[in-house]
Amino acid sequence: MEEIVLSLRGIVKSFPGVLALNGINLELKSGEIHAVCGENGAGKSTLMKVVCGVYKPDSGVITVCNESVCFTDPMEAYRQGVSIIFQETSLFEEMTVLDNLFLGHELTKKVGPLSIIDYKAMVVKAREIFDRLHVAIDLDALIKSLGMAQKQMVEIAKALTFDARIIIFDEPTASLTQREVEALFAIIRDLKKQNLGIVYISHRLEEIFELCDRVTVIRDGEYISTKNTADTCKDDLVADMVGRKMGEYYPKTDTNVGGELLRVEHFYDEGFLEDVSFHVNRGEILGFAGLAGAGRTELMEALCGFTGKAQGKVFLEGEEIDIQSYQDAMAKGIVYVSEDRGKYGLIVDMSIEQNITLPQLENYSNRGGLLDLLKIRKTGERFIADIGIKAPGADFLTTNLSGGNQQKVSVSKALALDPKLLILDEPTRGVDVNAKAEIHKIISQLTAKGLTIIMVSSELPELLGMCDRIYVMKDGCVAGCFDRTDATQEKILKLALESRQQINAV
Amino acid sequence: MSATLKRFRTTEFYLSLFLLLMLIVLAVGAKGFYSINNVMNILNSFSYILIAAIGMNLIILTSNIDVSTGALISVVCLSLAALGKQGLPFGGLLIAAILMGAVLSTLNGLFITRLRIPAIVATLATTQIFQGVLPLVVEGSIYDLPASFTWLAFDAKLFGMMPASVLICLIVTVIAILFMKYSRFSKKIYAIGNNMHGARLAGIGVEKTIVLTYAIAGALFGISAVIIATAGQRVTTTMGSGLEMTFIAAVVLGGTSTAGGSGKIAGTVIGALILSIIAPAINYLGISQNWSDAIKGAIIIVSVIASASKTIRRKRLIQSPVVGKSGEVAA
Repeated sequence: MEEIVLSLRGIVKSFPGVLALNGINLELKSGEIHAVCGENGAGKSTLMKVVCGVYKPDSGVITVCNESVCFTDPMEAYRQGVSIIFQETSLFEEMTVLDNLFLGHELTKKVGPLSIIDYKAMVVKAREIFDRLHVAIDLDALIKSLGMAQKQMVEIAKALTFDARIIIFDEPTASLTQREVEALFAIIRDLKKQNLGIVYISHRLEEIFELCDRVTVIRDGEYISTKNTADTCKDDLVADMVGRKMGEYYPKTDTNVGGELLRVEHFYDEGFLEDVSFHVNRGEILGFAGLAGAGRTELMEALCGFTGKAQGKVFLEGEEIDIQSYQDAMAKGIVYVSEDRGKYGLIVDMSIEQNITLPQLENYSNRGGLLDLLKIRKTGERFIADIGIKAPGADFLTTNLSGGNQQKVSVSKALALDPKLLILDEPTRGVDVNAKAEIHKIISQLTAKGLTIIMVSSELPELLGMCDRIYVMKDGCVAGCFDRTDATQEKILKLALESRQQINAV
Repeated sequence: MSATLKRFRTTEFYLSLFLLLMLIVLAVGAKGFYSINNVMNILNSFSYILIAAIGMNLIILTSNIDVSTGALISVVCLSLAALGKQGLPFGGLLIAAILMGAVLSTLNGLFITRLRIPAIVATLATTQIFQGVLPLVVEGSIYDLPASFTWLAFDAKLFGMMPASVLICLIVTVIAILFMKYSRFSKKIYAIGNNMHGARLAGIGVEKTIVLTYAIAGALFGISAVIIATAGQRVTTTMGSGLEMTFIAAVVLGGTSTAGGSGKIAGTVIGALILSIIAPAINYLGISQNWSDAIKGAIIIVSVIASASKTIRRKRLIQSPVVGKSGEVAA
């Protein structure tokens, strides 16, 4: 007996400047596992947050068991039988498993006029639920002592303490091992048999085909398609997920690629990187593609000495170098522009000139150790002119600049160090289309002058438009490398989505 | 290490060992430390330290702080003296102190949650306000308080010798332990300290809970103030100054994380006991009293390092949040 337990009609959600969801539809039946897939930033997680009340939709209708609902917080959704298991667990590390299961809806009993927590009843119910899941977890253990898989079991059990009718899994396998994934799948199938409706968000295609009955694809916040997994194939799904036309705004100029500048061999950083090797040639733009969490940023941070614990060898111009800290990297001419410019890229309450000169104030001091403000001002003005930062003056506070101009300040700061290798992590994230084009133009100009650039980006068209070669990362490994000539969105995405075993088999 | 042994080796376990060691050293090295008079004095200061430290513990568990407690206690003490001068009996003083403490502390809670001022700044400000208001209300100290005022310290002895403040302390502690275990409210306190965002997602009214926590803590500060104020016939304007550090120290020493979210009343009890012993111990060991604060500080540093070293996990210098398309951090 199938009934529709959850239905979304025309969900629209915008954030300042971005239309995150534009008319999404979804229909979930009881006893169904329904996959939602799409690229990074397609809007999957946003959609689910709208469903469970973290975000309020701008328009659209959500019905649960034919009743129109609009939850104000996840707890209310839980109470109505809609549970969401977030990517990052929302558990409380220093509290026990039992406390976590019933937090906010503890079972109580009356003692005189007081209503106190009824631990006995909670233990009984918790045991019952864990039995149903066929897992054994010590109820008195602190969450921090559990592994990721166990934490996830606790999350699922928590959903069941509410008698959930619908459970939403947001990329549950992201941090699980293969064996744990199998155990999780067994549980999800079990829940399906118990007639729950399950939404399974993932971009791992093989999991979707293994587990799910139907799949809905969303792309750039738009609803694309819903298909039975039995009637479709991976290539179809990838085509639906990509489907984007390459823009015209990638002014790739032919670069003069020379010999090898930097070679990284066998980089290893437990839990983040597994035996990564790559090289970059003089004057080229090298791209790094991959899904969120594939280890691209971690690789760049390790290369620049931020983590200090990565193992492996780095050769610069044929000579082995030892980078223990970012100071070492800068001294060797390797400079990094962070993906999160608000947090790591800029001191937003400082002016443009102060930001640009901050990493090398010793070069802007006179003999007495005092700052040479005139020199700082001149440098600021030079970069404003060269890079095209739109600001009234070098002493303008960066917090008042637009995202694109802030990014230009970040890049200027890196360029002021006169690097050999410039690493740009998501250089166009959160900037508007025009600024994006300008940044691309700047990147092209820089390579024309002989600078070597590594560009990490989650936007495939950008990488395809700008890069000479593209490495694809997956689960902390390099999954493959494409030349500019034979790289396509489909090929890269497929490689980024494949499971590890399949890569090894290739 | 077996599981049972592991569970046994808690912060409280190590603290108890340390306390035991201290007591043994004092038995050997400090003549007269275990005299009835001294022990009773220690029990009295232990009582007011512990009662206030339990309140401070609640606040720190929510990953907030209160540095205005000393000033707050001064205000309550002096107000109590003014009331006591009129002959208000102990019961009335106790109720007045609880109410005053709760109201003043609630102010802190409201500054923090409504005006979104960080707890340390808000309570620093209220410290100045409390201290500033005192000279406006009274001129200096209040002297020659009647016997009804000092009833707790001089007349209400248990078994003819034990200060009655111990009984108050015992009642408060037992209630606190039961409260932390069996009330739904205490779970909210822990949840907020662990993960404020998560607590919000779990439908917990974070602001309301924090204000209530300050109110409860304030009531406890009030009780503590009664014990402090009624210890003699004279109440000065600085009765409480500096005490907040002792309370915070007792809480931290007791294993409560300053980041919030973890810590037990049992730990606070031992922490308060150690801190109430240090000053007299130094005296009896023949060390200059000037060392008292430095030694307290050293003990705190050592205990914090010890507990931190257990939990230090590998932390990345730069964490990379997964940022969604719209720029918001995706969960």
